[in-house]
Amino acid sequence: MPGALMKLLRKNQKLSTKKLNFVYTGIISVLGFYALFFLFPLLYAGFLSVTSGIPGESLSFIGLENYRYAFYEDSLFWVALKNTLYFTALTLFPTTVLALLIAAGLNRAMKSRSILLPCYFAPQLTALVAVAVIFRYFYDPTVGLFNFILSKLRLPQFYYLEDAREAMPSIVLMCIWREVGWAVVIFLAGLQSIPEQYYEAAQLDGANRWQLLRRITLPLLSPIILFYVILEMVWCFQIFDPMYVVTPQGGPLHSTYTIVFHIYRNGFFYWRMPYACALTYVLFLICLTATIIVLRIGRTSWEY
Amino acid sequence: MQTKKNEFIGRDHWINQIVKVFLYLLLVIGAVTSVFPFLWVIFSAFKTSKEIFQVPPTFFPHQPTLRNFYQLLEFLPYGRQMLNSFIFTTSIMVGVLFTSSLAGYIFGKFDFPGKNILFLLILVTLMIPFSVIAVPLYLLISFIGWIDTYQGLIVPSLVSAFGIFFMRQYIHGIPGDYMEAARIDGFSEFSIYVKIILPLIKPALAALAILTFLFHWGRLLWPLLVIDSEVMKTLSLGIAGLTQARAARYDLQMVASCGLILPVLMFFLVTQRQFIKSVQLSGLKG
Repeated sequence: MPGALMKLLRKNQKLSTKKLNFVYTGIISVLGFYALFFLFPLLYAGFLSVTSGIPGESLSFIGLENYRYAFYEDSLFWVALKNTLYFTALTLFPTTVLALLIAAGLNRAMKSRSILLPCYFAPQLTALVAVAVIFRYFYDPTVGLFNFILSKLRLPQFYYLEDAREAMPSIVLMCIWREVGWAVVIFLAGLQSIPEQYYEAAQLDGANRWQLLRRITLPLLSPIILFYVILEMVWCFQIFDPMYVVTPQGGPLHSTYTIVFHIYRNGFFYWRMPYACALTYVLFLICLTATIIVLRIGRTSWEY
Repeated sequence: MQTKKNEFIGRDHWINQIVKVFLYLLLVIGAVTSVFPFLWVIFSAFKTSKEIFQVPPTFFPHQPTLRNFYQLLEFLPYGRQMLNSFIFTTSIMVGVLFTSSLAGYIFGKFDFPGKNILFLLILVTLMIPFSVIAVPLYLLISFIGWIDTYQGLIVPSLVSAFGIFFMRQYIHGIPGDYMEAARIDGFSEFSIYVKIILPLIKPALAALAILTFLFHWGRLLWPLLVIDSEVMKTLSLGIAGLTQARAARYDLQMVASCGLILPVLMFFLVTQRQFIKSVQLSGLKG
């Protein structure tokens, strides 16, 4: 009897109404919610980006005019783009390299790892806002800590956030300080997942240190490095918080004026919302293209 | 010839020892650099205003004082803002845990028409930067009349595509026997979810909780758009406002930052291993 019952139940698995009810209620409520607060705005932004005026009052369809304006007439747009790329390049590479080195070091130092690793990761816990505030003090040309240390070492002092050429690198330094920890954690996990046997086998075959690195460590670590680079790059493209906190007017000569800052200004300061929407779609396109490019490069150079 | 070379590079050679110590020192210096600003902020919170601005700056407060806290409260409704941040972050955390585990369970353990397409759609949205929906979301919230309210801040963030993805991956790997047994015993689907699935995915829930909390605690852009009044501001927003209005009041800024940093820091110190494991498990950006 029980056997037959089981068979019957199993046959009707997919058609059980109890299940269907649950599934559909669950899906519809959760995804419906998501659609309302994510998909709808997404599409609405697309719609707004081809209009002009004030949403809800006077909206007129103008086709791709916003996009044309951004690329051909809005000089600040190009400034923002250049600054954002500059920031990304300046932050991404040192962070990756530093994190790799630190992770390699921590991989060896087994005893002190439990103390050192949390130290490196701690900056990730701070809100970016708090980091910006603290570093703003460090960077003050007169009373800040950095210039004080430099003066003690008889080294030249800087204007940091008040100088057009130093402002962005100052913010970059702050972000590197903050971001290294996350990369270290991920790379360390990756390094530890490489089985010891690979190294042993290679060493038995007479491989030296350099070959071990090139043939085993880097190829096995490359998916993780790729994953990290893509995520960090997209994060860098959207950087906003430090700039807003530290240089609310866009920095000396607009040197810290980034894309999201440009979007924010246009949308919520000048209230040109349709134009801001067009800008966000451009940002999205940039992120997508960059990701695809990096993925392509990553895939081809590390086949093993 | 070969043995001579190996002897030079061998483990016990004194040059190797020195190099090792040197590299280790570098690691320690790096760790100290990572932690130093925290210590500085915490100590600065207790320094007198004069001390903060003086040159040469001091590390430890020479005349510890609590006056900065009082002064801060004159400028900002700080306590209220901290409360706002807590309410905001914990509500979203609970909401995300619930919606993600429910949806993750459904996607991970059931079969229904359109499942794959829907899931793919969710994955695709992960790629979209927040700024894209920021403007229309603001318009939507404004239309509903939720500007400057808790709901306006919390509700849009209650469902997280990442959360759904993360949970689905985890739940997919759980054997389905428990569920089947419960079904035969006549449990309702929802009670299966509550009584069987939820306890089974505790590690993943903990990881998601930590990451969600971290992400929303320091969030600036969305609260910036939605909140107008000082009283409703979240902590991060309040501090940002402090740097704009009172450009050089470092003393206030130091104290204010402490409030933002300390709760998370203390929580971190207590749950270190779980914390770091969560980050490794998911790879989510802070």
